[in-house]
Amino acid sequence: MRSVMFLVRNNIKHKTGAFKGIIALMAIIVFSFSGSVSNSKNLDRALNASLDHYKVGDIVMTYAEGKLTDNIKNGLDTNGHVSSWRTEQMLYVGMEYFLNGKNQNIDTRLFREKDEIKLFNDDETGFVDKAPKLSSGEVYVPYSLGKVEKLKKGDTLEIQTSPSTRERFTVKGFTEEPLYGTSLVAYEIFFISSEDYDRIAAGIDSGEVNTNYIYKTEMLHIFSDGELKPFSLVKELNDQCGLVDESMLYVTRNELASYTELYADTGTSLLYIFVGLLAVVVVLMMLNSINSTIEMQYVDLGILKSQGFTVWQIRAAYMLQYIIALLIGTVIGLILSVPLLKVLGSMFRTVTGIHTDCSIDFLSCGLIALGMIGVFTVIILLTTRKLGRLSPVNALNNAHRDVHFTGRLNAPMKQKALSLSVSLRQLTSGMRHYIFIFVITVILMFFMTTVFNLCRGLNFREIFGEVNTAGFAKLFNEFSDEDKPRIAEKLRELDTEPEIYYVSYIDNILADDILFGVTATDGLEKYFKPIEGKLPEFDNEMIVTRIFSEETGKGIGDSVTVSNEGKKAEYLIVGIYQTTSQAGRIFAMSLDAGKRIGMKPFQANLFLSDNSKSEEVCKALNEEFGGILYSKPDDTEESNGNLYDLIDAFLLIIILVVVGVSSVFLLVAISMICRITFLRERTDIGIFKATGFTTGNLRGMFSLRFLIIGILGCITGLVLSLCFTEKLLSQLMRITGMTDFSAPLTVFDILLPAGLICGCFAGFSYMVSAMIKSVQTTELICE
Amino acid sequence: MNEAILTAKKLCKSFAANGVQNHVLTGIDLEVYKGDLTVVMGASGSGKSTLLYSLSGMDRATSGEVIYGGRDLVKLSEKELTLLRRKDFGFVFQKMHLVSNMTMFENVVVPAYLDKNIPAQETDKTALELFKVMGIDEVKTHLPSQCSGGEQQRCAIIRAVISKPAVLFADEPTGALNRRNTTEVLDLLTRLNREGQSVFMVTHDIRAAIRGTRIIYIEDGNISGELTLPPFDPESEKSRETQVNSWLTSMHW
Repeated sequence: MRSVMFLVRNNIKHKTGAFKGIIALMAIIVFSFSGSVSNSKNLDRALNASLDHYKVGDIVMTYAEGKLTDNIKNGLDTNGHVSSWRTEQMLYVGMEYFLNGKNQNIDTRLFREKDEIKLFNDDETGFVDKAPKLSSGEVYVPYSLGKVEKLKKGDTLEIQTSPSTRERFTVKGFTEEPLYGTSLVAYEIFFISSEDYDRIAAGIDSGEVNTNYIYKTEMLHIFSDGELKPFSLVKELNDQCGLVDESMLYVTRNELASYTELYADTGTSLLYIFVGLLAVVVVLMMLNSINSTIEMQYVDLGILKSQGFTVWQIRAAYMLQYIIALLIGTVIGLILSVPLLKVLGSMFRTVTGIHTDCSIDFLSCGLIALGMIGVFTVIILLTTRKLGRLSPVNALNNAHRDVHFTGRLNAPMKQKALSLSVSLRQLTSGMRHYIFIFVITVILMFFMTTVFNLCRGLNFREIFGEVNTAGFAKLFNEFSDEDKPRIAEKLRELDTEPEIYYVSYIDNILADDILFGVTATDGLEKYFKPIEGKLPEFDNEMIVTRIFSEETGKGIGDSVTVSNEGKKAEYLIVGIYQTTSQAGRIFAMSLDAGKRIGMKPFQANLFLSDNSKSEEVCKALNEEFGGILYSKPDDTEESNGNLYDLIDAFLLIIILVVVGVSSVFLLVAISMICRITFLRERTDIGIFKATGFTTGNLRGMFSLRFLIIGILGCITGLVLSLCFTEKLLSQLMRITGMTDFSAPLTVFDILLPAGLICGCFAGFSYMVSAMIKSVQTTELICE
Repeated sequence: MNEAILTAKKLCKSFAANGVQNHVLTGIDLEVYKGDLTVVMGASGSGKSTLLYSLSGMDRATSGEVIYGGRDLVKLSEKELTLLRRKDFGFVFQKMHLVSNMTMFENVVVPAYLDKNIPAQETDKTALELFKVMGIDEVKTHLPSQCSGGEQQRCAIIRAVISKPAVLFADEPTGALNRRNTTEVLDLLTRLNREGQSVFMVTHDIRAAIRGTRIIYIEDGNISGELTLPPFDPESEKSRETQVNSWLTSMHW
């Protein structure tokens, strides 16, 4: 063992086998995943702790006042899989609210303040011990909303309680709110004082508050015994006591968590792919390094063998050397990721509203790193098998063939393009060695193109299902089908080509006994683009998402039974579409089809030929049809602007991280390959120098060779991207409900990564080729 | 009157190893004459090769001067020295040092292509002629690894002379060759010299030494003796060998 350790120490001391390079590559890999994995784990831990703190059930139902019947409560009491349940009163704000006068198009719930509130302290590093009691007119708002809207204490929140009245509150602080606190969920929860809550509730009871604007609801938290999956338990309870049929909204704790962790999970998945690709690169680098070392040390290895070293001792020395490098790289990567984690923690807190500690998850990261080291060790073992065939006699007689010559294509030597000719010859004659760096380039080009494509292709307006409307109209209960022609007539008076589409949706509905959401509208062609099949034409047709299709096992041409509030109807699937609404667990049909299961439109979307008239049109509609609807111009863009900015910044950071890490990775990889190439070709370089090539000539040829590989790798990577990027991104984005990601590669997606890679190749290899200066022609002397 | 093509004045060369200065050349004064086949002999480590590389500008002397064409090579920049190697000096090494992934022919023409004033066609033509003259025409498309040591060394000599250098420096050109190949290479160098090529050769092989018209003996970094001989004649090889042997004995070789 002592002799093996001596060999290891000697190899490290004499820089045999790219020791430092492997450390650097491993550090980059660990740095890449440990920040993201730790952040994801920290978020998951903090979110679950917060959900526990707020006593959020495994299933969360929302009911309009009086709908949570004794029958349902009895069902909950008698079901063996329900360990406990609790209810909480809340006020549902169905209309709009304003932050510092700015309209917000997000549904809101008002909760009475409670002891559990987790209120952020002023420097946002944690929470105050106990949230101060709110006075009348004061409100606690979710942290994420505060960040997105750049709110501060003392700002105002106004809630529309009737066409002409608003409740006004002063922001008193920011809460961690695990249910809907993330920016990605279109609900907000505000905590108000008991006094205000009771006053508004009393106003609803007395009829002073318009219940089309704000009404009482009840939130039911069901805690399961864990034996049944939440979906199964809900289905069982629905069969037993109509749990879902009577509800407004149903969501599981897991779904709530997945919405909050959406970014972290998507980012981590992306990082896993990146790390996987980088790991492949490290394997290739190690293979190249080991093969080259064995070839270059052939005589030395022969001497060792002749002096009594066994093959296993020599292989153990190689293995230990690389394992030590990988372990050192792991430690360095973990240390480097600490500042990254702080940045990620702060970024994610802004989006999720959840406070996480910025500690490294040593267990998860360590296990991943150890797993990788294990795989690498097996590969080293396999690669060093050839040492068993090493003959000391052959090695000592220098019978090994030229190390730097593995094949040759007859690329002619031309005086006019001498550098190019020589570079091509060096490339083609050492193809096996350059194949590694070619593969690395292909991988990086593919990944960078994919990331660029993803970040550019993520059109959040499309993803969130936004259609550029002129205005919305909230339909009151008094609205009937007879009102539609009158409204259409009025619109035609105000605009030359008005369009109005009526919409209804239910968040929880059973289709083939599985819970989904459904949208019914007479504007199917306006909102849905089938990626397969066609749009529904008749009232017995529907289109579904791919996720729906996979969960039900039904596709185009199959029938599905949908039941709602005791009504059942059968529909034929005629098309597949995709949406991020309800993370893709949804289907759609025409308004007439929706009527068959009791769906009524409660919203209308307006489209005008001239959007500048939207305010005037909305005002006119409110004046004439004020009793049956409330109309307002579409200001989604304005209200969501800050969120989109935030997301854009987030995407930019992803691009910068990928580009930054890739560049450093390229630098290290190119340095390693250049160094190996340089050692292998040292004599050739000396010969070229002795025969009149200048250092500049040789450096140019050296970097030209790598530039050629860079260009070839980029072209191949691009072909791979064209073939696989969409498939890969579709898999990645499934979590959001997007099953068919489509964003054609643009010149930007191609040229930027290609330019970056080729630039890195040319630049870095030229930098590294400065080593050529160190080669003295006197090294050719044999005294 | 011999015309000096290369002049060394008080040439010193030292190497530092582990903090200790090793003085290899200790103030050599030497003139290399045009048309001579100058041979340098000496014991291992005496500084023969160091002298060759210092004179040829391959390596820079620690002090002293090396005058070639009125210029001191010690003071030339790296680029100027490279151009000198490209046009004025040719080199033949003990280990041939042919680029293994180029054919024999390419090994010759590629360095010559660097001189843009000479068209590629002319270089190719000259190279082909030289391959024929040297008797290795049939292996010109072979890779070095497919050729014998003698063929490789002849190829290296063609590479060295294709640019018609003023001086051909040869460092132990027969050191790695068998007897038959040694004779072939030495005949070639002798013929080149007879045709006017100045040659400066380092060797410890007596068979190579007797080809010289001037033999310099170097000991402990300085010249300790010199022997001038008439041009080599195969007829007088034996007597010449005896004469050189006797002189070398007197030099304590």
